[in-house]
Amino acid sequence: MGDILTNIVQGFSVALTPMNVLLLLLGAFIGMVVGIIPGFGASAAIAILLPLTLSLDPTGAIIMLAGIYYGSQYGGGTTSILINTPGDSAAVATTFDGYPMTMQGKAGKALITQAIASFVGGTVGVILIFSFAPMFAKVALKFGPPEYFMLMMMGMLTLVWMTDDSKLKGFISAFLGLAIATVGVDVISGTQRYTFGSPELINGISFIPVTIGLFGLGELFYRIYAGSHKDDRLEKLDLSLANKNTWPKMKELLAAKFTFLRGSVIGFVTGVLPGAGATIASFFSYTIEKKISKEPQEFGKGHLPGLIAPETANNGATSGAMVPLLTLGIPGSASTAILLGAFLMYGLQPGPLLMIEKPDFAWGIISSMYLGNVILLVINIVAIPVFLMIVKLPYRFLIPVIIALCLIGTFSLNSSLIEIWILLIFGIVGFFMKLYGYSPAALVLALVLGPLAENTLRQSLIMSEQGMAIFLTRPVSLLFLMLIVVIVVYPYVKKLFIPRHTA
Amino acid sequence: MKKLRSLLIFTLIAILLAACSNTSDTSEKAEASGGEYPKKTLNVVIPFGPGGGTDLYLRKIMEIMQKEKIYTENIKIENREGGSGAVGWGFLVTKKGDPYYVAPTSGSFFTTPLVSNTSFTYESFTPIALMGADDLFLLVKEDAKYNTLEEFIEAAKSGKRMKIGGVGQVSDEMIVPNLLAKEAGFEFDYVPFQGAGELTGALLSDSLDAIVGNPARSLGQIKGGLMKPLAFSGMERLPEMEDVPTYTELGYDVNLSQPRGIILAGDVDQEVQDWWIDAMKKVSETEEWKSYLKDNGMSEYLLFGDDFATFLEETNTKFKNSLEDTDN
Amino acid sequence: MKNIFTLFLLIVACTYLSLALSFPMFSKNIPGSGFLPQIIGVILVLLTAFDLIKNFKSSKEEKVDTTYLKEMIFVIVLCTAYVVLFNIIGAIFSTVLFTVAILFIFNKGKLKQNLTIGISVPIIIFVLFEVLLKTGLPAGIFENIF
Repeated sequence: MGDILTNIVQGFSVALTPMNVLLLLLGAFIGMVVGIIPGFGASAAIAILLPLTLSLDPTGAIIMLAGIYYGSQYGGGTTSILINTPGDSAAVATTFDGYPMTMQGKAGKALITQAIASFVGGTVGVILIFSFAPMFAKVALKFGPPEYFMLMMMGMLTLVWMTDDSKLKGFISAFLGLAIATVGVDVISGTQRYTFGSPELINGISFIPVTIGLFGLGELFYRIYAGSHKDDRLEKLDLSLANKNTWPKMKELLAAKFTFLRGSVIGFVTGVLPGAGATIASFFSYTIEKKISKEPQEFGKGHLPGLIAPETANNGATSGAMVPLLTLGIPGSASTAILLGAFLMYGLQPGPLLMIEKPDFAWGIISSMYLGNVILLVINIVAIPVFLMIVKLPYRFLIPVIIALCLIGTFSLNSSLIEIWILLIFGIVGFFMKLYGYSPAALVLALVLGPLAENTLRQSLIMSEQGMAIFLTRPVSLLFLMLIVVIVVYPYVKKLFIPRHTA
Repeated sequence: MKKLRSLLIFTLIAILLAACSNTSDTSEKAEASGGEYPKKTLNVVIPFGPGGGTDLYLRKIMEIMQKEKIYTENIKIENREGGSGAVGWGFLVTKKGDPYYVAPTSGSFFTTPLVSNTSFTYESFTPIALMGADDLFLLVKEDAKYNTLEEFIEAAKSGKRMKIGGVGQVSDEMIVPNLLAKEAGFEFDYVPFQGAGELTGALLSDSLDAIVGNPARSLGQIKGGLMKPLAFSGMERLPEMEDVPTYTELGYDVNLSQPRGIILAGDVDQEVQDWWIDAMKKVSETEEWKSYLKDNGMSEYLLFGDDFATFLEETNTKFKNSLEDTDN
Repeated sequence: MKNIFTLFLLIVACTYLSLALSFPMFSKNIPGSGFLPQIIGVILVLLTAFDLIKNFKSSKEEKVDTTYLKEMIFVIVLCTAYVVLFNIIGAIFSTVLFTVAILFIFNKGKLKQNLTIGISVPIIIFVLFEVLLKTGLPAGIFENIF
């Protein structure tokens, strides 16, 4: 306990110097703004702004970069809620209940709830780092390819749950996602699949243009088709912060207290595992919440817990991803890989000694994350009236702006022309999917899980001496396997033993 | 009808503008030659994402060039990632003759053209300089039974089929263990990974027997007692890790590294090439560059102009042969 | 319409599967590069075919709502033109043209307002990406002006 206290004191004494507070403020703000741009998630935001920090001292620079990192996670959800366009794939699950709230004229409430959920997720994450970082690092060390494969299988289960409403169309969507995921060079064999000789496709189809196309453009085409540009219902709403209805009710938030907690912890733990990350965390959290909820039918229709679950999780995951980075020098995601690059650039050697040799640096960063979340909560709520103006703008003005932002945002990521074509094609596909009840979300999740599942399965089998037995001989993998079996079998067993009086 | 008309007008303007596009390209070349270089903004094309080894290395050089006033005009750095470098270098090919485009080299500079249809090869550009090299450690987990390369090879030969991991299937990280296995005469399974994080995680979770890894990303973990290096693929030992022997010292001809070089677009004037060779010599002598090499565990390895061109050819042959050997 | 989309998915699935057959199912005793694509391909073909049959069988006549269909098709056509022009005439000019063209459809008769928005919004976007984020948007044929 004393140790933790020393760490906290030491950390805050670094984080609270005026220069570092200023850098933190700047980083958090920039991150939030850049995160709002469609296509710009955490990794793109840090990558682009990395050169800005070159002239700073290492601690200040990393504090600022970390601010950009989790700041972008706050911003990513904003456009999910307002225009159904996730800033990046970690914010896809935010659209499920966030956007319906906007359509019901509850955009203000959704944004405030999102800010609070992000704050809780981020803060719980930081507290977990302070108290248990070394323990969680040990968990990360138990994960090799077989364990990841089992984790991906859990993810596939999430997919099955997600498609509860229309199984056939849900499965078609998911398999389309898996199919798209196989485009590009196969990591294990080195063969190119479905690239048709185009060098731009060697690295596969990135989920950014697909996600923005399906959700952003697809929804936009759908709304034109449905005549939103003639509908001025949303323009007449009173959305100012002075209006009591803009704020979520204390009672509603308290009723969801366990959702907050579960989301944060699920997010954090998923974030700790290298390779899993914020996207999978937010989907996990959403589906688990829906599965255990007493009113699952409300999800997807603007239900508050459906917004809280993914938003706490993706922010929890950002904190979680800092654990292997700081304690082991292992980057868990694209964003932390860039942070690792920044460590090296400043002459810091990432590894287990970092926290021992440079405790002021390590704990300074972690303390600044705590402060950063407080700052972001405030900035977010202050900025909400600006965002709400977007809702009140006539839709006809928004059409060209949304399209231009999606297109330029997507292009800017890799300067790739092929990606803006992909964006447009998936925009059209997204329209039809929405029109005919397919599941764009299942497609995106399958696209994220697919390559991980395929690679880890094949890596496991190369490593294994007796084929599939490798999944049984490793304890953590076995544990996951049993968990999956229980989850799959449990509903049938329940049916057997509990008389069907409810039917 | 009105809608249709506006659509028509839009398309018409567009076509007109597009038609003009062919005429304006030619002016650039003329002004490049003659007069003193540089006169314009320098475009730095990095074929990989920000924060990676290649990115950081070239950014450092540009930073030094600006600080030391070697390049007096603006410098604009662009990351054009995709297709294991195919996108970025493919872009540089189209800038033939333009002296204001510069790019780095890396392992993919050779492997990508060798395994897929790219618009370029290592010969499509103007070679400037080799500034250093990233070599690879062979790493095992700290509590592994083997303390030396000999013990490792002994175990590999006496029945244990080693699983060795690296990043990428067609990469220097795959070729190095293959060369070793061929030299030492043992068989093993290579397990490719997508990124360094998952790779390190796999070794530490007892999924693999050994991995290869460059010093920048593994020095911290070696010093922190997570894993131990058995051998190093550089020409000489790494100053930061004096007690780790090279393969060559141990009698294995395993020597292949990630070349950190610098190139311009193809067909630029001799004067410009000379200017750049001169500039890189200046950079390589700065304290800042030397400390960068040390911090990042890079081996200093300097070659300029024609020597660099010869080196590119030799390296390409090495990569080609190794790929053919392992292709089956 | 619905059948056309499902048919489109079925064709995509069949093409995907036929291409997948050229990759090896197994290599060196472990699943090869064709393993997953072939499984995905077969399942996808079966699922979409089933979906198509189900559509045909359902007696319910599908009504396509055509009220705003034309507007939507216009937007998609303009988007395509935008993507084509993006690299040719550069980001900023194509964005101006695109914005103005869209507003001429949806905000008829307000020339001044449309031009103001059509020019100011792209410039704001351009400043954001080019000046603040330095992302390198294509300048197209106007490369030499700036």
